[in-house]
Amino acid sequence: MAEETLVLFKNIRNPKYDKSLAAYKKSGGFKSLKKVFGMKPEEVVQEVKESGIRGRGGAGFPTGLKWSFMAKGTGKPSYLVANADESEPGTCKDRELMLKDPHMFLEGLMIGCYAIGCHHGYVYVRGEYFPSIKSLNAAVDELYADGLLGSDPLGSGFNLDITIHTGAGAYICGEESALLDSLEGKRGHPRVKPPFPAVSGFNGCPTSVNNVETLACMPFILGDNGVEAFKSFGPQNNSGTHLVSLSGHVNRPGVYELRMDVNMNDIIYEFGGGIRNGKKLKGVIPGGSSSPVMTADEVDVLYNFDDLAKKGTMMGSAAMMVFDEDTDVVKLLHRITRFYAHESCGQCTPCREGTHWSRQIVRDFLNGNGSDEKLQRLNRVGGNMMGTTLCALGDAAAMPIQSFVKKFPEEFRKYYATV
Amino acid sequence: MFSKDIQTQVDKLLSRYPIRQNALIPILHLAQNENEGWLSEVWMQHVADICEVPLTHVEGVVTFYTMFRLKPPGKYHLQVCTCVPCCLVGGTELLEHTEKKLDIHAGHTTDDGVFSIEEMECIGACSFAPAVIVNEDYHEQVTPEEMDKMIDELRQ
Amino acid sequence: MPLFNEFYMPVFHIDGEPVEYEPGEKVLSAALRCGKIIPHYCYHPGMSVVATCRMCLVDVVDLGNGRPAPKLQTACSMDAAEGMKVETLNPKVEEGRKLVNEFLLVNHPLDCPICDQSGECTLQDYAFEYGSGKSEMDYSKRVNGWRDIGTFVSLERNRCIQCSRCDRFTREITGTNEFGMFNRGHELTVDTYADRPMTNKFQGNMADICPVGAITEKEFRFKRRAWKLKKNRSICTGCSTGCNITIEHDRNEIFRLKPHENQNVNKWWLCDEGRLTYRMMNERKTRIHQPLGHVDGKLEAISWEEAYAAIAERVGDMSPLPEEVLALTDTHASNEELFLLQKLLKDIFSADNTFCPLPKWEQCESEFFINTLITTDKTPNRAGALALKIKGDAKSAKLKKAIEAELKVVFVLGNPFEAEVEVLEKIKKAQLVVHLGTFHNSWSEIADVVLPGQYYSEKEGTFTNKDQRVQATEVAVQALRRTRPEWRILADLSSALGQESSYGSSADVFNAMTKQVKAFSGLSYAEICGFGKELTQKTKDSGMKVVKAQT
Repeated sequence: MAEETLVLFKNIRNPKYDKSLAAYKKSGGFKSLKKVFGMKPEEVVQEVKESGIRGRGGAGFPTGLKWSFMAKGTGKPSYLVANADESEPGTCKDRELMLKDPHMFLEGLMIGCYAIGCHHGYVYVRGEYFPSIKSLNAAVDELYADGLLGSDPLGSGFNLDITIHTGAGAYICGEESALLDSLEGKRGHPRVKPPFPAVSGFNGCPTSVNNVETLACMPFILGDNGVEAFKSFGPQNNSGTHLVSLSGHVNRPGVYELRMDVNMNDIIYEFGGGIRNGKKLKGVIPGGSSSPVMTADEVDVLYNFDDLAKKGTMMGSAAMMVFDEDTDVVKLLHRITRFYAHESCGQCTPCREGTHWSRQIVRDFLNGNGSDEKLQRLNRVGGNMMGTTLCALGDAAAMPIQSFVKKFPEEFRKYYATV
Repeated sequence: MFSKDIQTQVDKLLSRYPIRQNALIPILHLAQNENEGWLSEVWMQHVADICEVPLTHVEGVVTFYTMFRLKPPGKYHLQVCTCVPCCLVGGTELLEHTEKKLDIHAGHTTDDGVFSIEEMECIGACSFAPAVIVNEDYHEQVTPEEMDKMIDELRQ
Repeated sequence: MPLFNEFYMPVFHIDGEPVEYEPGEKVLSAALRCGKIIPHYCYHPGMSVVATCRMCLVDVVDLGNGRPAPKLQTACSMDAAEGMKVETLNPKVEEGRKLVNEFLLVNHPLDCPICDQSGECTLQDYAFEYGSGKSEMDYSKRVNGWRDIGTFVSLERNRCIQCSRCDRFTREITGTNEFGMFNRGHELTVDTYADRPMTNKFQGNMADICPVGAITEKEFRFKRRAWKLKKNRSICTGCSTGCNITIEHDRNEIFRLKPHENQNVNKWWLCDEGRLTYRMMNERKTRIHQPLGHVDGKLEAISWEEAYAAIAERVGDMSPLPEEVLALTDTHASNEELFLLQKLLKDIFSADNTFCPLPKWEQCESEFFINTLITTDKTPNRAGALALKIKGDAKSAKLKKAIEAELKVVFVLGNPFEAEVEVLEKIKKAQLVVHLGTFHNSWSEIADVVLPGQYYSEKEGTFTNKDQRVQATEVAVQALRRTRPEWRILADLSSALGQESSYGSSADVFNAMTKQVKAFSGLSYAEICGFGKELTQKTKDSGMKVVKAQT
């Protein structure tokens, strides 16, 4: 069987690891933080930039660059908010980190706080993640007890607090400006940008919102030779290892830590053990339900940001959903449109009306009232949500619709064609 | 209105944010737990007073998020995920099976108030699908038989 | 490129035309200011920008740095920049507007035949311009109910397009937080949520800002089609703020008052009390319809000539001394009326005993501007009386002294000192009482001659508001046939009593006033009729008290 490349899952894959602070320290934890406290914050940002790490939440924006955008000299406090609102269908990787090795993530968060001058970091965890919340709270208590959080961690003089904040069930709160609104105690409505969070974020102060996995990479990157090692795990501009959530009709669904130069076929057949029940592959949704779907003959490609972008799709949150030849694609699309209709915040016109309308059209197909005209209409309605909305949810709803119609038109026709 | 222990938690939460309003959602969770799993107008007004926001604002927040309930759930709230990955491996069938077993539809509570079912969007257990949350506990790779067994055990 | 200096305003281009903007201004705001129409719903200059309706999408072909924007941008949230080139008329933008319009009509009910907003509805206008005329949505629309949301307005939730203007209004403008947005996605709705009707005094404004017929005024419901209404600018006379209004009427009946934007007085707003003053404008039963005279102990209709002749005769017989002549007026009278009344006493009788009530009043102070609009002084021209140095009498003390004398001639304009029964009794004993007024009141009961004037909606006149800004009314509806504007009555009376005057219009009186009264010097009538102008010489008002608004 193919081997994982263990950086983030280094401790988790050790059956004897009990995720306590003592165990984390024993395996080398908090050495990076100590080193970081001896550096200047700009130097930390520079190293992160050089490592080439890109956001693991779905957008893939270079993290070092994001941190360098933080407004300085405003007189207001800076904030780092960890985005643990993992709600993209197919994604279940951040919870692994939070449940089984919270300290690696928390050390990364603390490194990030130092890098941007934040003295109080927040972790926005989705409300349904009860086990993760408990795990994080226990870990934070350990850190306070140990003095690693509080007024003088590791003698650095950089007072640091962390608060675990719970969400209450809204996919849109994974979008960074909606997350900030939710963190402020309001409805999770995405904001007009500009101003960007780096200038005016949490309570109007400069803020950076980063994904859990991205932050969990920081101890490694800031460790000895971390930058070079991190870059070595993937092609140019796609550095590091990443956690792939494999689900669907494979024999071994699970979360795997892989390099960025693994072929998708290997992920499905080597790591995933191939399609279950001896069936054939029909298609893959490569990066969470927001990504354009791929047919079986398109999966001969390296699984990273750029290679997938060249193929007209995206890696997103690295959530691979595999479906076999018996899958009813129209029903699948219906479930996807239903998801977006439920999760749309309703603020802006195209998404509010388009998500619901497109779902109604797909249901019409399932009810036997499909037609070529309706297929065109579905494509048009989906396309109208692209690029016209306030936030990316409109695009995220549009891409599956357009890609399913383009790649599986016969599946739709099966529902209405009598010839 | 909060019990003594929870009031301590509320006070601690308020101290962790620069503005009282920021603590609204965590405090609403605490209030919901105190009130047996749902938020009445009295509780919403109480939380509004604590966080110094208008009641209309709290109502707007409560109706926005799916986890806040305006009517009481059952003693065991079965949250079955039917989203894309769970749907691929039988999540929808699991939901239908549960509805049949308890003789109620999702969004309702059994007459004896013991069970309620809620259909969930992705709950983040995709590689371990189908998944169900019972109150606050995750149950993963649940088969219909296991669901039956769990319901029978909980009924005891 | 010239350096920035105080005379230089930076420029960007919309459809090839240069548009000046202030640094920090948004593209939409600059465009609207220059008369360019970019369709929009959620943007309102008085409230925060949310950019959610997506109707104002424009194509920014040059961001100011040589590169185009990657996709269509909302003009309301885009900062104007030097060298920016924006296109609002190309096919991409048309597509954008078409798709937003289509999405809005997906759930919007086709209520036009029964909707009050029809004819002044931007959704209707833009659907006509950008719509396909044919719906491709064959599923049922979402249905929400009608809601009684307040004393002045009602909500038709089906029609709401979720622009959130009303939500922002009760949060940012009135600060009362009575309205909010609830639920999520296509169930998103605006409402008061529970059965808690709004009680703020500015609900009518929510009907104004609602771009569709979701929030409508109860007072106006089903009364008249918007396209039948003629509009005239005027001033609200409900209190001393003098909010600018438009009087909207059809066939001489006034149907509603709407605020007219004046950044120096009422910004975009009008209070509900002010809106209800339209009722008085339509009131006819209690109006004085024609000149009346006491003949054989009864008030009988007489002609204007008979009235003037009778007054001239009586005055000629009496030859009263200055202290035997008195004029009473209230501060509902316009500047011209007050000026001519004073002049009448001075020119004909060499008297200066003109009195008006000037009770103390309160001005509200509040962090929300709209709360400062309503004052406790429910007359429109107190400051005018002060500027003309009419003897104000807060406690009627001075007046009581003046009426100790044996009064021969008394002129009463309007309904001053109505509660002073003593004064009424004394005045009754005067030999000649002339009442100029619009409505029957206790003065017209005891007067010897009653001369009918005209109401604000029927005449031109200028009024001085609480900030000592002079503003003008316009003739909106036709006056009652046998009434005349008070300025004309006073000028004709003056002529009848021996002093000819050559005023041809209210404007003539105003111009004479600017020459003869120091406080009004230098003002031009044209400017007054625009957005008003403050007096160059202000009078201190010791009767004003500033109070903090009740939250």
